[in-house]
Amino acid sequence: MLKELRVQKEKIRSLTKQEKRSLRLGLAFISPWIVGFLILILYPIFSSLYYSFTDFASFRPPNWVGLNNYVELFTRDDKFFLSLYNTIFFFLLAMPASVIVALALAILLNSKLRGMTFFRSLFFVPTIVPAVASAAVWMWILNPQWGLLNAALRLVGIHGPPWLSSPDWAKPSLVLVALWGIGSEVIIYLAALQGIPRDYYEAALVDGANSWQRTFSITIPMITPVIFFHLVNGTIWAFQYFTEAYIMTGGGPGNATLFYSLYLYRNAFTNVKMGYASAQAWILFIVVMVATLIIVVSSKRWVYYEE
Amino acid sequence: MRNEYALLKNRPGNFRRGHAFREQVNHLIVYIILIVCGFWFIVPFLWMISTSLKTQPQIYTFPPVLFPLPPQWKNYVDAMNFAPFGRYYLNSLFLCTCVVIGTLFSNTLIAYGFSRIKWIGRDVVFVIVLATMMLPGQVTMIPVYIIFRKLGWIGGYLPLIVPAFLGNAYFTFLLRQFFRGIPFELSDAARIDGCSELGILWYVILPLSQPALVTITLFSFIWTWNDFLGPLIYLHDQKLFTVTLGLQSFISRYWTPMNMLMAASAVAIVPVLVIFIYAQRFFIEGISITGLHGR
Amino acid sequence: MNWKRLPFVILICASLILAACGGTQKTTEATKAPVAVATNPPATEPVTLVFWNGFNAHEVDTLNQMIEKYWNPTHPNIKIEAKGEVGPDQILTAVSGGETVDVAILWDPTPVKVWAYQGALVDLTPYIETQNANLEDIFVPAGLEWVKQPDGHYFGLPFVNFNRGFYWNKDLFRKAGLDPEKPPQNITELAEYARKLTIVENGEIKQLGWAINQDPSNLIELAMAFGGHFYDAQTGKITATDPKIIEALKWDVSLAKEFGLEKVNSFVAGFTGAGNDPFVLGKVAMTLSGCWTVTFIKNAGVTLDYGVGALPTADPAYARSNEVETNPIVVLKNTKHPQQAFEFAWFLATNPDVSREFANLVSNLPQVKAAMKNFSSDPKTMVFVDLSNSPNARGWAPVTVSAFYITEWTTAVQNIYTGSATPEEAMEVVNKNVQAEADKYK
Repeated sequence: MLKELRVQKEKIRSLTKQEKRSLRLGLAFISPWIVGFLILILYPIFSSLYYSFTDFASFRPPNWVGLNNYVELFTRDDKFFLSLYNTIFFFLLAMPASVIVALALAILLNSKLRGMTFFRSLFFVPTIVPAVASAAVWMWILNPQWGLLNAALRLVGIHGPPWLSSPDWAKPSLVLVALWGIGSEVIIYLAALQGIPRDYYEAALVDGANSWQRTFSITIPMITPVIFFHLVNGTIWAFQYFTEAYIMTGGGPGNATLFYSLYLYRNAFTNVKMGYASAQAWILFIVVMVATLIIVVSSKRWVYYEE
Repeated sequence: MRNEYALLKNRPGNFRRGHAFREQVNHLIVYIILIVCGFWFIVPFLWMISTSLKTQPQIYTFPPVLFPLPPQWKNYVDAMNFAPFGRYYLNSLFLCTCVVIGTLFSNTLIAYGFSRIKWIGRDVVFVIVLATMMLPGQVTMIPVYIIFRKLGWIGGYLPLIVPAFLGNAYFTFLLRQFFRGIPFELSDAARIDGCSELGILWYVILPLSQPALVTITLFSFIWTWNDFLGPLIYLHDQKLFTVTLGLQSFISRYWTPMNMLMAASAVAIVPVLVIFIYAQRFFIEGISITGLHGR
Repeated sequence: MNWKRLPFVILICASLILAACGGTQKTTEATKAPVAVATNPPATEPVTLVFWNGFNAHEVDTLNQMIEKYWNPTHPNIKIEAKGEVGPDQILTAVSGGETVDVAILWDPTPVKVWAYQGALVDLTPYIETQNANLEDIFVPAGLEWVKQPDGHYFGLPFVNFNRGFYWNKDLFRKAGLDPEKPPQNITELAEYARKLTIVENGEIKQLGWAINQDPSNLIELAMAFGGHFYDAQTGKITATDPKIIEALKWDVSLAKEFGLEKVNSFVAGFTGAGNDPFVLGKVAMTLSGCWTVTFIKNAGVTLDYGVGALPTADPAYARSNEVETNPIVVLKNTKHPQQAFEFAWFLATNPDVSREFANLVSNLPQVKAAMKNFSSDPKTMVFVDLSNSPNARGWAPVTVSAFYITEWTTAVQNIYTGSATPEEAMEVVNKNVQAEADKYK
């Protein structure tokens, strides 16, 4: 075993001149990131890791408590598991929905029909509305008595649930609100769609493919890199979902929308238990990394890079 | 772009006619879907505008009024005078411009390094970049604040601008994906011609990445424009406040003048909307990113 | 040792050291809040105090004007730099990041005790003693509870209190054939009137007589009207399972069940969000609401014929019960001028003119008895002012874990009204959780 390690070290030590040059070039190009990483990320990460093993309460020096925080989270804290469940539920609902909706909209908006500029702006506007305003707007729409959604449902004879006040419908309501802000993902997909060579479509057309076939055999495979990007980012976003729940439901009703990040925030600030919250943060870090790793590893199978 | 029908000239006539019909139907379906979805997307925004034109009692009527008459345009004037929004706009504009410059500068360099140069350990380091996106913000908030305080930057724009020059994992990721899609033959050719790496970035890669660059400019601008927490923590002097902090001033503990808040929010959206509509040009016609034939 | 790894190792060590250094400012620190000792430069040197608060720009301007008018003439050497719209979270971040904030006003009292426990605040007791004043005489007692620790030490001073009271819609009373000048006098009448004032059409509730499940904070005051206590003032134990609290909850829920729990929930859920107060909209005939609602109704330009008073109680012994809170003034431990900071805090807290003017501006109540006379020309506001000074006025749970308590209470209440728990079950859970949390702060 040791001998193999030594062989490895020899290999690394004897980089070719070309490889050494590439390495220097590569590092030079990413140097802004390296600086940012060391100062704004590495130090806070180690800080938070250290805090997670203490009873740090923000105002006074932390005392080492070892694994206490982690043990308490896993054994005596039912909100920990509840918030994790809520978050995973949200993730499993929101991710597929957002990929499908964003992709579908982008494909539609990519058509050469008149008025596309107007429609693109339309779908994008929600993303620039300040969070405060959009929360107020959506709380009105989801209003059980006279909100737009239930009014529309009443027209077709359905008695709509109390959305944000219903333990069963609160999370799906928030997914709906999140989908409203999908404009930015649509833009990214649009940019990617613009980059697909026209030749492919023409060739397919000559071969007699209809639009469905063209979509599924050309469009979608060609933008799998962007779908991958969307999935990875969406996963990270979904697991850290916080703002809308904080403003619109406060975690209710009955903790139905107590998401992991919301619970973390409460522990850190409301309950002044920064050490405990840091432990929570690290668990979240690991969970998200695992989820992302699964996506990254699987990506080798379904992502197509034109290289 | 060549006429579609020209491509079909080897097909029998009824195929061409059937194709034309199918295309018409497709177009109709597209419009229907877009209108239905568009309705869904625009209504909340319309309600926002509608509220901004109401008088106070009108906001609180039940059932709610959709088209307030007469429209209270003076709400917009009142809203802008509620707090020094003129200065806030300039501040936000300044801040966003600096951040966008930093973003474009740093992320193009970094993404280039991760996609167009093969170096030992590159992919491992990239995974670390991805991993950094996963650390929840709340916990790093205090250590980062400590760093800025030790540097003496609290109270000014530096904590908000400098990080933009140090890269952003999201934008780096996005650009890297795009850069990877550009054929290596192009940069190889340039390299053989004696072009430096920076030259390749500037002359070859960037021109072909316009959609992506426009995208990150747009997003970076919007996020900075709407950023609330950053200015809240780091800015103390009201003279430096941004538009989002200005919006917050409408929200008092017990009473929020919704009409003025909506009016101010609507005005806050305008610059971003203008930029977006302008940026649309880059999405309109297909920009072929391949320069080679027969692909 | 692989020399190539050295830089990395150094980096890790440096980070850990930084992290450790960032934490240990003082080496000796008791687990409870230490008494801050004043070793001040003499009070004649010019000093600038950093003053953060949660008020909006407009209110801060008014504060600055009052500082100009009342403070500057008598304290030329102490300049005040005020910054508004800062919530407790930002103060916490800043202070733990080492930022110098001298004085702060929090917009709700729940952080005070836990911050005091963690050593974030300066113990004001020694300074108060130099004032030779009896706080119980100066201040409305209910507001004081929030800033006083069980051992009698003060870690803050009250600044403009707020409470809730009973509102009834006189028009709706008339329409239902009730005398608009005779609100219900006790709980039984409240239920009776509620039934008379509830209108159901086609199986849908069109108007609710009593604001069932309107707000978890309202339910707290209702529980107080039944004589419920949320904690034991002597022992500090959490008493969420107080039978009187459960009785109050049962009363409210059973009233809801008369009209249909789901229907009531739907109706109530229709009015969430600021400015959507169903009482103001004329959809609910009787409710509990804050002292600020009087001003709100005026500002909203809504014409409403309504009355205000004390919530009817289950027993005359609990008459005029109401829940009082305050916006506490605190001095942060980072201050380099505790003496001057205290003087400013004392000024804010005890100056009757400041109290009167500012409380009126933010639709709150005066915290000093001296400001209660001529506080407002509006008789409705005066009702709330008097209520806040009644013998049964108190803070509901001025304990260290009050923030945690209110979160648990809110969840429990939501569970009760969605039918997933009975009041007994829900309160058991609350008691267990909150007591467990409170025990960590012994």
